[in-house]
Amino acid sequence: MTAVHAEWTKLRTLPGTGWLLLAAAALTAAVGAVAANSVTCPGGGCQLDPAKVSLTGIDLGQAVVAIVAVTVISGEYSTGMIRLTLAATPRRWLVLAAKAAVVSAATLVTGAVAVLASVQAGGLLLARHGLTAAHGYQALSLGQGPVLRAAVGSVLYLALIALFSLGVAAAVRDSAVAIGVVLALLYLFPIISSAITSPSWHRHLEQLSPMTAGLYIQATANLGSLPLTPWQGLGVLAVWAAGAMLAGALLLRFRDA
Amino acid sequence: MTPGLQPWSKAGIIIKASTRQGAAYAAMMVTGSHGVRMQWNFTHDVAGLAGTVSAASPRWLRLTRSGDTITGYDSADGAHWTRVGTATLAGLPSTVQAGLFAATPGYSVASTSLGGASSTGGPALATGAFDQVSRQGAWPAGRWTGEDIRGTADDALPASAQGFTQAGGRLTVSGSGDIAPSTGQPDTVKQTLAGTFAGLIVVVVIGVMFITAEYRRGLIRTTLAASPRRGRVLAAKAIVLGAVTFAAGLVAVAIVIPLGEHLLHENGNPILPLSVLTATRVVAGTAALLAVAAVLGLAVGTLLRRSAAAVTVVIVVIVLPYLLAVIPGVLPAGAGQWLLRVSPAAAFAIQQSEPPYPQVTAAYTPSTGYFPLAPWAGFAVLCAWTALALALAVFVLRRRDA
Repeated sequence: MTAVHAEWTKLRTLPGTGWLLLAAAALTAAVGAVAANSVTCPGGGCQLDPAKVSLTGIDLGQAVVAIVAVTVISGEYSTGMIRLTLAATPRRWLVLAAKAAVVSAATLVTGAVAVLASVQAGGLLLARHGLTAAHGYQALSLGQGPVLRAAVGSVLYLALIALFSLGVAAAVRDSAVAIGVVLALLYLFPIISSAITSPSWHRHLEQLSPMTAGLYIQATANLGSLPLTPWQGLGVLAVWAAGAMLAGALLLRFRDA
Repeated sequence: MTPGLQPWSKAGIIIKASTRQGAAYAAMMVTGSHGVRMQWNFTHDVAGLAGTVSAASPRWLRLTRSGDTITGYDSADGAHWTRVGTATLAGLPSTVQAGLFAATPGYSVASTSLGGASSTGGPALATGAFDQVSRQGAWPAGRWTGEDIRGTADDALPASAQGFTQAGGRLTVSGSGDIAPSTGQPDTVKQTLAGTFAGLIVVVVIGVMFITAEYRRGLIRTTLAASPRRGRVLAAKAIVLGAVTFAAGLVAVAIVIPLGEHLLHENGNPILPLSVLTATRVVAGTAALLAVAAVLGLAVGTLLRRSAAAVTVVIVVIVLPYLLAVIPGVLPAGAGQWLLRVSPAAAFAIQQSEPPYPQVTAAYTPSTGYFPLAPWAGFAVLCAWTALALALAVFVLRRRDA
């Protein structure tokens, strides 16, 4: 508990953490609103997934969350603070666990705010752009089971991205390299799979991709066409996060700080 | 279901080296809504008489051959002829196929939205009516014969739906499927260059660290003490960084394109021929893209001084717009096109190896590999953003304590 308290103090007093978390929430909601606002529904209807549209901002918000998570550990390496931290708490896995607890708690709160704002804005804007009962759409609300799952899942998605980034940062230490690795693993999979024409390889890459598979949690329509169910998709990201945390913990344990 | 005339439905007269797919040809034609055209060898298109063609307002078409050169003429009355264009078909055999044709691209109603792309469409049918058909020079004896000529990837109706009838000097030809370059193929050059994004992330990290590492170690104070003109320090860094990443990118791309195309060819994929000019533009342009992106990393790194934030900003402004615009079904096509005009991701237009053809009906969207800006214009967008960031960085570096 002391370790968690110490980490919380560090995160809270770091200049920029608050601004970054605020930016993550604001950018997520803003991109979602812009996406919802750009929808057009020509006569025949608008084949789209209202929940997924409203939550498009997560694509950007995750990058900001990754900065916070990476800085939590890489920042200590760049200032040498890590030596002090490890001297104070010699059980190194405990340090990483405390950091994970603090970062995921902060991300869960930020994510909840961002997702609530996105769903609210999306519901309002999509209704104005023709996603009405006349086109067979219900108003977007958290009262619907799939929408609630998409919303809660998106918050969990952000928390898992934070843990994934923390694990990578613990493993590679330098912040620029760590954030580069995290963003590469998130953004490269969908780009490379879009260049692959073989349907089976395309499908396999999508199933492996932390971002593409993880974001299946936002799908509320055409679930049958996805290569994985929404929760399985989030599970893929959870495996990536667990793998990164494990690698980070092992390297932290056996390496000189 | 055979919907009616498409804007680029065509009927007319054609001279073709053989009826094999891809053989050289030149044709004069009337089109659905683009008037009279002369087209040859799939990618060339010259406009003739404008206006809609109908039974009440017919057009006269003529093709003449002299060696490898074919000249097309059109006329509204059969008396006053205007030359439309001249095509040189290198190596045209002395005996060629010539005749009347009707062809049309399929119809398509595309709608892309955030939830997914959808389009309804299918083959269409064009019918041309010809009378007063006359020939000069050496022709085989006998009547005209009808033949269904189709390519392997043609969006065409079955042969039974097409046809040829001849009744008293009047010939009617119905055809489906287009005479056009194949646009549905994946862009093999872009496929082999998918790794650019990995390289991009690496050079951005290097570019950012080139300055943030100095801040972290305090080396920046020594650097600025050694050369007090701070603008020069940043300019020197930009030149060194740009030159090194350009050279590295050049080597990587010059190796990966021939290698990738070779592998694709070995596996039986069709490879579109690449002109020397286009190949040079793609190779040098991709290397320049990496160099400019690294300099953008340097500029943003100078502005923010924090590595993680700077790397994220640069990657997000270059890679994320591309991702959102190119993956089908993430953004509506309009929003995707807009992103690829204004964001630094516009620079990836430099890798587009096939130009869009106005006379060929196809889905020219980012997700099929077509960018809204011309290659160098797209690259200029990235350069403009980088110049802006670099100017701001010089300004801030001068005013701020190191």
